[in-house]
Amino acid sequence: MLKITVDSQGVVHLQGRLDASQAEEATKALSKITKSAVVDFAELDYISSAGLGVLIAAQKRLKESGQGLTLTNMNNHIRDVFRYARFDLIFKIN
Amino acid sequence: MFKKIYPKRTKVTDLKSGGAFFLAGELMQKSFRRSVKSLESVFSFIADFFRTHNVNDDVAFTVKFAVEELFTNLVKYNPSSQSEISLNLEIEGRNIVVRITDTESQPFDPTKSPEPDLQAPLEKRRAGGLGIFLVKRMIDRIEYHHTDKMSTITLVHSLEK
Repeated sequence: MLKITVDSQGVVHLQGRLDASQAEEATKALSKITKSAVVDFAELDYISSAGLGVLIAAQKRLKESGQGLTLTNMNNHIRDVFRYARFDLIFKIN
Repeated sequence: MFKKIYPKRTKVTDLKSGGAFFLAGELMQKSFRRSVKSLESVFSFIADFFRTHNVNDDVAFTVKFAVEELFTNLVKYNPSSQSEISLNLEIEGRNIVVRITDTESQPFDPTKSPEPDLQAPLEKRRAGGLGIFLVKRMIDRIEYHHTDKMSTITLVHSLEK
């Protein structure tokens, strides 16, 4: 399961698993973001290419208006996936 | 060509409801409805096997990732079929061997799929093709076999990562 929450500072928290079965919900949740935001991966256990697709789409939309997502607190497995996919070229990753 | 799924010496014992089988404690097999909604039960099936065999977190993540990418690919390319997709998990020596079998699929050899352009600027980046590319990057060995509408994808990955 996946849970997406936005805290009072505007930080987006992902929790659980961002897989193909959760991609639609995640797209819906991220579509509400209209300004640059930090996405906190601290409690995200897993992501697949479907999840990467959701994030690419959000980043493309935000970049059109000069905004963007900064990704933070990834576990090592997810960090590897992002590195292999060269997502470090299209996201700021802390 | 194909390794036999059930070694003759092994007695098949149904230990679980829902069609999951353990064979001599080393092989598990289950079929899943052809839908991304099956992923939760696919993951829980894999997690059971990992627990039984003390598979470490690195290997567990990689295998789950590969199974999801290949399973969803089979769903995507033949969504209308009613046939289920079968998953076999087995420990062979120091490797985990995963076999994904689809009895109703068009030929699609993931080992020969083109590489996505990873250097492309954001506006040209897309998620299509990324999943299979990442599977090939992460899994030690992938074999593909297609005959008479049946695709079998075999993943072999070392347990010692």
